[in-house]
Amino acid sequence: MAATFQPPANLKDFDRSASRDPLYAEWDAKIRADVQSQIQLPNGQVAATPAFYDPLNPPAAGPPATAAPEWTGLPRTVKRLFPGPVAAAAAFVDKPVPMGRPDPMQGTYTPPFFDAATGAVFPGPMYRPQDEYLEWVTRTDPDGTIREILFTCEGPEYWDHIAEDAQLLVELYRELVGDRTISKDDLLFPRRVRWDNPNDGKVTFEAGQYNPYNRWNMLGAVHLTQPANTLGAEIALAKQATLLYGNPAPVTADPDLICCAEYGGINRMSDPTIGSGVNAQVRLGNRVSLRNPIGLYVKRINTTAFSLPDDSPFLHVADCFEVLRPAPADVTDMVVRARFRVPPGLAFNGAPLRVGDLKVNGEKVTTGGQVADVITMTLYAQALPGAPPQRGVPCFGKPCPDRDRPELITLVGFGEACPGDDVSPLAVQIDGHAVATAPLSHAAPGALAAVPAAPPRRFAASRVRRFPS
Amino acid sequence: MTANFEQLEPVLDGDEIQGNVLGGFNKDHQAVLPLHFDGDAAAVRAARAWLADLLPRLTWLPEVVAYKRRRRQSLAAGGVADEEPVVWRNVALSAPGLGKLTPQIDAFEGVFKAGLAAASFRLGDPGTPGQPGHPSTWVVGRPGAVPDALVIIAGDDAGEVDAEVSAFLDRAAPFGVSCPFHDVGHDLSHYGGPGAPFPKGREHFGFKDGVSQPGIRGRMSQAAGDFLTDRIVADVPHPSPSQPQLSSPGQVLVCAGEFVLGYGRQVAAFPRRAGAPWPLAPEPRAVAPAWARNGSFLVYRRLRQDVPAFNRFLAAEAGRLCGLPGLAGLTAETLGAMLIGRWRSGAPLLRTPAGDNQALGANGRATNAFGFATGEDPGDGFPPGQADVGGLVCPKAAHIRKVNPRDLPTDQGPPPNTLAHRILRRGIPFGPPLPFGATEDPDGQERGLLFLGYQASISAQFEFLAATWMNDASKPDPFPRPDGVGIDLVVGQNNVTAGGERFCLVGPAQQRVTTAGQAVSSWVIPTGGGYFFAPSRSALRDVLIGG
Repeated sequence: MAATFQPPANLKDFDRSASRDPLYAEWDAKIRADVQSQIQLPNGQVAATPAFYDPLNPPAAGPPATAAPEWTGLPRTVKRLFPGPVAAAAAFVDKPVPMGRPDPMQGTYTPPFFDAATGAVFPGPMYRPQDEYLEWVTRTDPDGTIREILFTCEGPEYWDHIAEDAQLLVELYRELVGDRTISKDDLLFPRRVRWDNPNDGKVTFEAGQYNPYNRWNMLGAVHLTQPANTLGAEIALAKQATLLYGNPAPVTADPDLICCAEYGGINRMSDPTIGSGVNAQVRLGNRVSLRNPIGLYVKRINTTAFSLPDDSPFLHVADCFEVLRPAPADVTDMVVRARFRVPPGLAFNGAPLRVGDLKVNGEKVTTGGQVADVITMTLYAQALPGAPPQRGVPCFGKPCPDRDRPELITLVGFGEACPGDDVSPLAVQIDGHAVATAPLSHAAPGALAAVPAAPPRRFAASRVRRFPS
Repeated sequence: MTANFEQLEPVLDGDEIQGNVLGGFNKDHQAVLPLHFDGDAAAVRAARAWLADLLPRLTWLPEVVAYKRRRRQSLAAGGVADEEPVVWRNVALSAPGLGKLTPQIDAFEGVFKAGLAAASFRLGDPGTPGQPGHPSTWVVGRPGAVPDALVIIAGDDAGEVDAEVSAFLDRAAPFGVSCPFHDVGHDLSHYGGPGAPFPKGREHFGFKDGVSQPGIRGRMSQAAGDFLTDRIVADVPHPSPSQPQLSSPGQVLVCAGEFVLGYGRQVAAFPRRAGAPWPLAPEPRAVAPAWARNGSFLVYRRLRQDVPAFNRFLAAEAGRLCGLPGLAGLTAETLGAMLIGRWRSGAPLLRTPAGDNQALGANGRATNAFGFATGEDPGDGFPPGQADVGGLVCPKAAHIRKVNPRDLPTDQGPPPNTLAHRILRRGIPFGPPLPFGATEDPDGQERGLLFLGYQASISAQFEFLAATWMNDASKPDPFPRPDGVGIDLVVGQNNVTAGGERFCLVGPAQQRVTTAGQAVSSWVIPTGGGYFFAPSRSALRDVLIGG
């Protein structure tokens, strides 16, 4: 039987559907199309041949070398923007954000959804501002102590595909969220809505189409929701990083490389890491691809970072980190869903021990992001010798410090000067004060999306350059 | 003068900053005195009086800088360093010690307040009480016996330092300040015995130590060019703001706020920009009280070195690997150089891969002039370096590559991010040396390193380097093999894997060097230490002494 692209982590969800075979076939077709699509370069740029290859049809014999870029689950940017205790920084990204409200890291707005018929704001869709391909939901006991943290790195495309079988979709949601009341109506758009997706442009969701940003996803971390956290982004990034950049002078080091290529989120930890690693392989003369099944995966949790309330080591971290997907019998090196929870029976000073009683890196656990900070993420890339000859693609842009928040990179056209040659006084104040009082701090999960009075700035974390087809 | 220059190169409050922090005593003889005082009202009054007595005898940054400038000028003029021998003193206090003197310690970061013993397990130390390295075995800083203060006395003459230590302790005793145990470290070149003559500046395994220190930004005054760190390399404008600025070949300038509180810190992607300082109370998310400005966190780690075990390991592994592809003729000395990233002389492996180069090692600038990603010729007359992104020459888990990946991207992002994790190392060896390569220790004397490191954030710097980069088999390489590239085989620790096995991939075929099969899996064993804070002059005077 010919090889096909499998669901991330070889998940077996489709086996439960009456449409099993079509679901597998269409998933294969979708990923196949993504992988095989040719990179189109914008007008004015030289043609180049990417060294990306189809993992189902490798161009050379022999096993490819596997390399696995690694990054940390908690966005690096939030720690830089909000220096100090990790708990305080992580709190900025621990709650979902209604579409249309400011993003806590970017300070810009993700556009709201609009009713296609009336043009009114369509309330409800939310996302988690956790942009390193790992998202989490923190569940607390009535006293506010964290009981468990659910982590997911499943791409939204996979769940959009599951939604082809609405019954399967509902079943899985009920299982993962743990609520039998979830209905189809909770998960599908009730009417036609439009959204200016910051990464994919204008999209329309028809009535009855899956709503990836539904409230149950927010409560149960079913799959990724940050608009740039997609499998398509992963594939596109890997492909575009297999070009060489810079002409005539090669550009090989970040942050210049990712700004030159504009193949990902310049302020993330994951995208520059993935891109520069792939690019380095190509400079060594290798072709690069992503291992089938293509996905984003949790690799491990740091088991030595935790301690008990009295600062003595907590030695049961591995027991707390429970892989939920794939099923135990199917776990290999690909984990897409996990729960961090102290198993029953563990106590401290006679009371049952909970996650919120623990410390991580010396700080009491008050946010899920602190645990995400000790989780290592990965994807699996493969390299084979024989990259095609290339000449560098001229740079699109170059990095400059954002004038008001120099911890953030802003992109200017290649060859252009950075705006201003000094730092505004605001820049040194904003980390400590201004951001902390940004409107977002008043946003509550579930609150009706508020449309900013002023024209919103576009979402700044555009991850993947959209080339005209 | 742009606003950025004022933030990037601030005029430092030199009279407020203790001399060892940014100046570095770097003396051949340094005593480290862990001190204790009680917490009752009378004892606290006495401790304050002791600090008041000590304050005028402390050494501040301008004195150290002036001394070193005179010395450099003398040497540059062809003379000798004919300064009168000096004895310098600095003090730092632990969280318990500070807590006895002032109620204003809540704003300190939790890691500092909890102390080194609480951090021991996450630093990779053994987790079983009684096991060598476990805090229960420490001679300094065991739980329940955390020193309140740490005094460093440094000088050019061993006798003077010994005399000063005696005088210091005699003078402290009436104030109720006790010192049950202390160390005096000496440069190993001063020892006689079987290891003599030991070259200057080496640690017990035989390698030159303290070669690479960050260049610290900031000025001593408003006078033009009065930089704390000499600018040997002309600053060449570059079209990309992501390019670092060097003070001397290979030495990247780092914002003073990474080492002293109250000054601008590195901006993640832009080495020539200064960001906000670490927040101090009452700012949101403060890491320290307001009075901590001009102070620095000091990590003291007393490390015993098992020299014979390390050498036996090198000999055994070199013997096992020397017939494998790419490692023909591998010797223990070469394997040791691979694991450090430098030869014993300090010469970087990437500039002289075939063997040690004493002249290169003796050239303080050339030893630092290399990168892992680029092989540019610094034009200093020594062999150029070479790009080694794959770690085929200098292993990815080599000590110097683990703690300072230089121009490589890391799991933390592009190379400029690494600058936020640098520390200022001020350590000195203790105990008599053994001959190079010794596999036996006939006298069984204790020897090791009094590791001393200053930084603005213990969690983001010392703990990050030790726990996240040295001890993690995959990091800091952002694109590792799925099974990792290795743990620092010299200083690293592993309390996760059964038996504490550590490994490192070396050579063109990335062969696995492993501690498996060795009688012991670690040759650097923690025997004590603590987390301390070196306050400013005004903090000592107004808050800690003044109450």
